[in-house]
Amino acid sequence: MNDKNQHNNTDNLLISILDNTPFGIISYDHLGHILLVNKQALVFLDLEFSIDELKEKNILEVITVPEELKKRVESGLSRKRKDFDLEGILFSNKYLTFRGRKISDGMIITMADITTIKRSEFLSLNSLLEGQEMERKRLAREIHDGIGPLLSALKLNLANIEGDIEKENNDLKKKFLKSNMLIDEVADDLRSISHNLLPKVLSDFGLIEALESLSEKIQTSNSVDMTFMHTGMEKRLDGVIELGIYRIGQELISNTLKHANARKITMQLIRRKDFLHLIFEDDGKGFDPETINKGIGIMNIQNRVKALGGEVNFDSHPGKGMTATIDIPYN
Amino acid sequence: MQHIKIIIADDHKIFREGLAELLNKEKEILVKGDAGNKIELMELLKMHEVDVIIMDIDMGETSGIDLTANIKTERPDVKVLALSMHGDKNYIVKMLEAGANGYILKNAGKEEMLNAIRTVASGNTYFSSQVSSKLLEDLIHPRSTKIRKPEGTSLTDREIEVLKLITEEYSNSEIAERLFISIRTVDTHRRNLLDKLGVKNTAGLVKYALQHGLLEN
Repeated sequence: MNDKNQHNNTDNLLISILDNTPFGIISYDHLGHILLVNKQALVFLDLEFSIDELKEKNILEVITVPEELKKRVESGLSRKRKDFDLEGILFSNKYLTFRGRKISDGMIITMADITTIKRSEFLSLNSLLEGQEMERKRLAREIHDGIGPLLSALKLNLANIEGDIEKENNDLKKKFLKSNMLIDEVADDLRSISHNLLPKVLSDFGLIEALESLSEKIQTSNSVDMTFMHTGMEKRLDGVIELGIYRIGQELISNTLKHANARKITMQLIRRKDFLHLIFEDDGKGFDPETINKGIGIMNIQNRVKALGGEVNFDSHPGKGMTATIDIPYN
Repeated sequence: MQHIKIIIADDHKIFREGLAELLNKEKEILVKGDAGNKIELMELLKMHEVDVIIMDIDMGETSGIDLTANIKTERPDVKVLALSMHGDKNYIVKMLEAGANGYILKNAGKEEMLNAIRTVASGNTYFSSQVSSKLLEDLIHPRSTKIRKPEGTSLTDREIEVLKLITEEYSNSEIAERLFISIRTVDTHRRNLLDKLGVKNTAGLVKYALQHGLLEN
């Protein structure tokens, strides 16, 4: 009697723990019969059944979305079932993490809501990029308002004494002209630095003009043939997205110029109903997508895409060029 | 002798002063004043008889482009010579649309600057060589305007490759294998092809390829 009471107590304790954890739990046997499920699992998966109803059902009737989880559950019903981890799956406005583990006669799936973590990651990434942009803007302004006009004035001052020097002697004149050329070089360098920091064409004329101008510059100053095409881009986009896509384009190009030894670059920007697609191709030496992961350039691109809530995919094969496909939600 | 009367508009004092000093050395030129913003410029225009305004196109708060359009409607007799750090064709075109009579870059030398002023003052237009080559380039190779067509039927080399293989009845995975790209990338290209050619399905793609002779070589 005493023994049975204790058993009941333990059961009750376990049930209340199960129902009060912040994790969703669902477990099933190798035929898909549900062995155990808690309320939190129903909430996470947006299920309308009661727990008792669920116990009558097969796991395949219950888990139909998200797609990734469904696939794992299906393969988990075979003899060759395997542990799995799915991180940060976006499902009905939540980011969920699923952990599937083998138990003696089936699987147990635990799930956690990591939306707040994802949100704060997203926020800190965005503020990091925003800070970077502000700093670039500040530098660009400083060059434009400070060094730029000083250089122009310096050049004017030199021009003012040009005539006097001519009268003096020829040797001096040569040195003078050499100095003048050096100033021009400095001014050119400064202009291109300032342009990379903050492309004025972008804010003044928009993304398409800015990317066209960038592509023309690549075309004329490098041994690479670059084409830029766009479809459905008649209207200007939100400023943050324009800047983001421009930076991604810049980074992709500089990546290719630095590493790929390519002869040809094609960049396309396409607007469809709810998405912007950037497709970037080069015919360079390519790489094994498995090993490329963590170069600074690639990481910058991934961060930019992530900050815009998009996805990036690098496809390449040694010796066969590369294709980057970037999808960014936009409405 | 008739002087060419000039106003310099630029948001940097040091630059205005340097330029005024340079120009005043020339016998035929007289700098009437310099302005750092719109209000100062309009004030000077009222006070003086002016032949040429040398106009910076980026004056901080004030856009030299808008200002030029303004002046050209109120005082069409005054010539505007644009002076800019930007060699980008968008700025050149905008400035010309606003009515500027000439466009030179800030790194122009003394001789070019004087040449530009004389040309503009005599009623002609002047572009520095870098500027005119930009404009010409665009006339000869109108890349951007060609691509701008809304029907957007220009395909990339890779898209044409994929299209050819589709018409030869290769599946996505076979195309992926042949071109050393992933199935996902093939799918992206296929979707773009449908989109750009404005067709609904593979049959439409094949029809397009046939009509445009893509299968022949």
